[in-house]
Amino acid sequence: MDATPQPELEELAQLLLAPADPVLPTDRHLLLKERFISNLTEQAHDSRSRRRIVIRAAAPIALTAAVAVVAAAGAGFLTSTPTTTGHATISAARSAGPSSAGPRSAGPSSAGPSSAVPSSAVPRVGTLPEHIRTVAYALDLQAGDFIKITVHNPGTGTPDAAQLQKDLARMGVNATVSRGITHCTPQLWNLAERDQNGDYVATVPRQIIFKYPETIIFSPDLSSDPDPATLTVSVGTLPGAEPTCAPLPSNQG
Amino acid sequence: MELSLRARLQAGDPVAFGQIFDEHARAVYRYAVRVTGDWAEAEDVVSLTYLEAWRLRKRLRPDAGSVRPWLLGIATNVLRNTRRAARRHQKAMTRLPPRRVVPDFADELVGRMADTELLAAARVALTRLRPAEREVLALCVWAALEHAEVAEALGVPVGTVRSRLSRARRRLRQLTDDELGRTSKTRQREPGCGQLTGDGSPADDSIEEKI
Repeated sequence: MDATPQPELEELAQLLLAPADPVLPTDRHLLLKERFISNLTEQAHDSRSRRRIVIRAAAPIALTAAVAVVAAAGAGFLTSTPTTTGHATISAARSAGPSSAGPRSAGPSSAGPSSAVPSSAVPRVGTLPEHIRTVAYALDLQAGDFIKITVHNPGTGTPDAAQLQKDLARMGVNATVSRGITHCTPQLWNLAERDQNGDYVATVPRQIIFKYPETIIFSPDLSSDPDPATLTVSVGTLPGAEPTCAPLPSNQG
Repeated sequence: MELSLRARLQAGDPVAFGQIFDEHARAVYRYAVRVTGDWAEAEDVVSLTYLEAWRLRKRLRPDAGSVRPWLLGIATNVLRNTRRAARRHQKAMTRLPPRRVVPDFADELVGRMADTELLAAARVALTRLRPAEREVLALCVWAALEHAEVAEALGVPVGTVRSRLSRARRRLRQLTDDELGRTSKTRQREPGCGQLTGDGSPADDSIEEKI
């Protein structure tokens, strides 16, 4: 049909030669894919953040418009007063954030190694805490609605996985924290970075956008034999849903 | 109702993008190696192609059918001007894993050396073609797309694809006594336009603008 006629193809085959089939090795495929998807997720989150800024900027404008409408109505130019527009926008701006990002009713820490010094949360009035600190780790709200997880250099205390999971929930992050490498395969594996103090640092979006599971390994090297004590944080897919895993991509020629 | 793959891509669903990466990244890589003649650079082309696909997702036509022509069309644009694409995605590209420049196995290395010869020979011939003819030839012969798919990839009518391919064939025929002709007859071939194989020579502008 649309294919080049066979004689023509054969002639082109005579005229042009190709190298043997170049194959993208599976490890490179996975690496490139991981970086690509990480980038998408980040871009999508950035665009959400920009939208949120727009909403915030729109709030006073909408309020002003509403007031103007009320004034106009009072002056006899209009018969209705749609003032709810402004209030609704303001409300949305205030509630923008982790409104649906998992449980957040967990109480203060009360057990586990990290609770040698109870976690201290600095709450925002009417919202979730912006910082939680323990001897073993710190959680901090970052710009763009990200939560920075800092696991202190080993030696300052071993984080209690269950407690870290609870504290993440208090910050609005729906995650599963465990010891050892998870048996399932998430779409994304990420290694936490080391800062100059030797602390492990990773940042996760508080509200998980799209359905992309991610597992962060707080270990120096993912390729080494997994240490059973390795701390693993798996971020959920949809708000309120349990973290899920996805199969490895199939090999293709 | 379940959305089609194209609809999910248009909506910016990363899972759908992960799926087309798994399904087509190797084809894009194969095409890029043949066009650039550079295994490591072809990895960058793959990354840039998918980043561009994400950027241009709203332009994806909703019709059914494989997205491979769409991806290879984007890859062709990336190859035309790799530097511009790299600049557009500079932030993402700085995070790419280091290129794998050394093959893992000796056999692969030997194969690459032979392939490099082939690539160089075909390249010489292809530089004598117009960029538009090369692109059609590359997509047809090396990426094994049919005429309609090449037309979709390049955004041109099917008739244009046929005429460009025909011109390219005539031109190449004239070159059979040149470097390509002497080298190629002893080499093995691959399937092409729909079934041929080839090496890969970049479009003129793509060679000039390599990163």
